[in-house]
Amino acid sequence: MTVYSENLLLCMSLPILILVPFLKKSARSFCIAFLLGMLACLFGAYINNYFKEYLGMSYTEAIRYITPIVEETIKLIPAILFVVIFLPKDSDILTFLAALGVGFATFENACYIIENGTDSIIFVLIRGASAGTMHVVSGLIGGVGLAFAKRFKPVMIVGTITVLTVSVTFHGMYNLLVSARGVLMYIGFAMPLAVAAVLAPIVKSNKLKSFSE
Amino acid sequence: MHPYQFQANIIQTLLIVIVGVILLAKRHKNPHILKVLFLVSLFSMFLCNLFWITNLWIETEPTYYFSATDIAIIGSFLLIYSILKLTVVAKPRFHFLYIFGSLIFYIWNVYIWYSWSGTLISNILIGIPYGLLFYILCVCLFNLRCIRKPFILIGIFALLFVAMICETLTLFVGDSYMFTVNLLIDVLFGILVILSLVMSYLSKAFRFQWCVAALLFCQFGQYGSVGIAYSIFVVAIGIVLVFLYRGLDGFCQSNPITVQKEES
Repeated sequence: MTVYSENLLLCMSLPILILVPFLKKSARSFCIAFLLGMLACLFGAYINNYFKEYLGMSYTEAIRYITPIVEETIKLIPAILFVVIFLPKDSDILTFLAALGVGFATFENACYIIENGTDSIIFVLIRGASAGTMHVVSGLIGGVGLAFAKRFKPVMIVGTITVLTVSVTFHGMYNLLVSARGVLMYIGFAMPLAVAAVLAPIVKSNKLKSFSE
Repeated sequence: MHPYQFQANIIQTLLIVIVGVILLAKRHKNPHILKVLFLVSLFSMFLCNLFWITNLWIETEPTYYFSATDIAIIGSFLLIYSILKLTVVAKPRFHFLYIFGSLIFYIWNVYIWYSWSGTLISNILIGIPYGLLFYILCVCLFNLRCIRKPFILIGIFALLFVAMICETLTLFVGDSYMFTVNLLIDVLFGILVILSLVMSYLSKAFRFQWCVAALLFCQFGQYGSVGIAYSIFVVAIGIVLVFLYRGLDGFCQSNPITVQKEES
């Protein structure tokens, strides 16, 4: 079944876009980040396909080596602009990046579900809990990293690049494991949830609060 | 795949984890900025190795596409460059000479790697952190006069020059000479690593800078070597990281700059 992603994006984003002017600052920035995440997903798909064809890669090779680099880079661009233009607080950076990840994951899941159907509850759960969580976690990693990089002017550029490298490697690891067979695939599915479980107390901890507020 | 490559990567990963755990165990309330950066760099290296080991496990043969491994290694070496940059306080003399030398070093390496692998863009990107690291090492080691006898330093750079000529020779010599040239590359980079480590032992004030030089030579030795030597250099990187931590610890104790809270 052919999925017209652009039409789907329009359908999903218009209600949120209409809602945006009525919202207060923090909710508005969340919604905008969510929309930007969906837009990033669409552009990421275009660029992925271009590189896949240009480099003559198979589908598996593309998702293992190209997709993580393209998707994480395109997700980080609006986040960098947000940090540079609005000079937000550290906690706002975290929220923005997480919302960006949620938007990305939501749109990607919507496309996958339309393409593959919703018959299998296992498939739907895996898509939601593993691929979806992966984008949120990589967004959170990016948020913590950008908040840290913003703090130290001499290493701001290098710090931002490192944030990208960590997100890309995490995403790459997930795609690599999921594209394998057997136990490795299940480890891959469990990885985002495990990392989220480790990351949650760190993000919630007083140490990070004192660092971010 | 090189002999024992898989095992060597696992040993290197374990060494990275050990250094990381020691760093975390000895953390203070106000951590030193350089130690924080080094920890992130180690984490990036760890992820790089994890990706590479998993890839080797799944594919059984290494793939040479530009992937998350290369991105991670770029990030981690850029962080080491930043750490070194933060240690430089004086304005460097012969600034343009270092920039010119680093540019030549960068282009030369990219040319060699491109000739070996056939991929240009990825080698251009991977070469950037090494070029920057080479520049900042020149600034640190030449400009700050970290050794009293400069001929040792000049000798090290001359050895590096000869090693790179040998690497270039691999593009032109026939199969009958290839083994000799490869052996020469391994020996030269091995000597460079050992010399840098000896210098780090002798020069306490610049221990960290010399360890970074050893790490750079290990990395280049790994890229330039084939067979068992490749795996030896992979393990050597892990060992050098232990020395690097020791050097950084000493440097941080004498130059306290802690992570400060954001100004409100």
